[in-house]
Amino acid sequence: MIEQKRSLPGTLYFIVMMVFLYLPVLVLIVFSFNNSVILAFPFKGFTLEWYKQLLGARELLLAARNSIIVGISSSLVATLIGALAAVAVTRHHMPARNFFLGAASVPLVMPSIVLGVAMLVLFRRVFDLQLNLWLITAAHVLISIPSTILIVMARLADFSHNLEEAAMDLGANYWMTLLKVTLPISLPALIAAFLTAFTTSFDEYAMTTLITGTDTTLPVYLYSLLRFPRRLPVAVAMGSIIMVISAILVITAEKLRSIGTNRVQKENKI
Amino acid sequence: MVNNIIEFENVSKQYREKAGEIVNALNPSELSIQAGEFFTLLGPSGCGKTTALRLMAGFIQPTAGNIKIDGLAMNNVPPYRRPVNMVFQDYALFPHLNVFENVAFGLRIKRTQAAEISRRVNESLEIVQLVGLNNRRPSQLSGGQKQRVALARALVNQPAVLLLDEPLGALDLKLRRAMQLELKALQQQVGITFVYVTHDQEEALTMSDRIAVMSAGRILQIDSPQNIYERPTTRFVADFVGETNFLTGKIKNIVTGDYVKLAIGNDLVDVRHRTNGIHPGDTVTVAIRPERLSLAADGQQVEQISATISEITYLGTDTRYLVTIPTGEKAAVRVQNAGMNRTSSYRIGDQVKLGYVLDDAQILVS
Repeated sequence: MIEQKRSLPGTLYFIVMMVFLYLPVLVLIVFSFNNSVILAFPFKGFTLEWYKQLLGARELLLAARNSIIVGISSSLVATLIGALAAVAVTRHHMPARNFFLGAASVPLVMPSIVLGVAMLVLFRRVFDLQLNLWLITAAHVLISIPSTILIVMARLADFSHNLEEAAMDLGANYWMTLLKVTLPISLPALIAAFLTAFTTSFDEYAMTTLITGTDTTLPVYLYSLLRFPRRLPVAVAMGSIIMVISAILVITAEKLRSIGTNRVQKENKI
Repeated sequence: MVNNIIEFENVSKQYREKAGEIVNALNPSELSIQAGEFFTLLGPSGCGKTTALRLMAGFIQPTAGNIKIDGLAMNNVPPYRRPVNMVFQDYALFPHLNVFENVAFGLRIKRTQAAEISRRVNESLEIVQLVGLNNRRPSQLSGGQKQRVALARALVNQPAVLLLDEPLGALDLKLRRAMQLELKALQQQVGITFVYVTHDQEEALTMSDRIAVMSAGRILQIDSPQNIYERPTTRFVADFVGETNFLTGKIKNIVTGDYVKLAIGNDLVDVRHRTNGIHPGDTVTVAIRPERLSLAADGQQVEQISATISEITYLGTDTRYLVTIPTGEKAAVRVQNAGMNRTSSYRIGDQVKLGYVLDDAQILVS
């Protein structure tokens, strides 16, 4: 390892980057405690009023509940599909493997507004369906799958196929091996994939707004709140809560991913 | 009657590469491994030895031919229904399970009773001399300890055959030597047939009852370690196992079953007749080990070839001479630095006679 000294330009760069990245977040959180409906300096005083109002905002809480339900169910489905696809890609002889991977990654690069329009046309014009939370869930599964495949794939590619052969050699059939060896070893990656999918779903606005019917998700509802300036601070309070929860989820996902990687690296060192 | 535990009848394995070309990992091969023996597949990497082992384990299926284990045809029988267990080159211990659970894996799959699992796991950990580490994770073990867990994990299932894929490859030389002897002793203790894959000829000679030398997807010779070393039938086997001199000779006459008279350089010498398919007038290759050659003045030896000393290297226990015979071919001679030979009396450029005993030279096929 190269010994690294702290340099002044490096430290400055770090500070500037941190301010650039986190100042908006910080401002949001600070204003959620500001005793004024107008989001501007100077500060009027500290209050928990907006958080109190938040607890009484039935529609907003309903939207939050919808988001959590859609988030959890779409992430579960996306993780399951992603994991199976990753097993297929890394462990089986698969025709058109690269084409499959490319096709599965398309939602990652396609603007979600375009996907939203496409789905609106599909749901309403082609199939004439009532827009509901099920359709939003399905759409969120679609945009989460690329990341779940890639996360689980990286893990599977990391550990030796020998482990599965060893399990079969010791008497475990295909499904037993999957259950007792492949999945337990991939567990950190599965959780990381789930959390990543969940945050993707929970944040999604551009596409979701186009296919929202009467039941709305949180980002869509928050945006609609902006039309009522007096209620804006409540939206800010909600935003702060989401921000903190998202940060915790992402950090946890990253920790789990690196725990898994370290474990494999240790294994490979003999 | 000999009881064959593993039989290959005309077994071959081909792979189709991406570009569409076919690779012969194993050419049609016959192989019989006897129950209770320590059998080694020896060869350089890519010779097909691991392919043969994986065919036995059932991880791959033969392109053609039949594999029998314990008299039963194994075509399309998956690995988990074969009476064999494998020790992998990288051990393949389950990182999420501790030592005890790693060893217990096979028994748990078979739904063995808890008390018996505990008894048998501890018993096999005792056999491999790894006691008191039951709760360790594989990542907390040394290379040698992992090796023992891998062995115990396979042995606990009491397989008919234990397959070992270069199990000592990752260990340092000293530990490796110790484990060689230990493995051999273990095999005799448990009485299970071992099929051992290695590229290390010394390891093969030390441990095996019989060795199959492989090259380029073919089994070249199956024999005891002594015969592999002393009576190699092909140039590859002679060259791969130990150091060998190859001299070109022309056959003068053959006394079947007794000796072959041939011309090497300017001399006529005899070699024991053991090789089929040779005829007077043929040009053949004769293999002689450096330590089976001796240097002497004219007339002191029965079989002798004129030569000139071109190089002398002192090696401590031995002295190694490089000599040139009149045809220009070179041969190495190793003389032990003991007794009468303690000081080298030869100088570079000296004319000498290379001598050997009739049985120590071998005519090679092709």
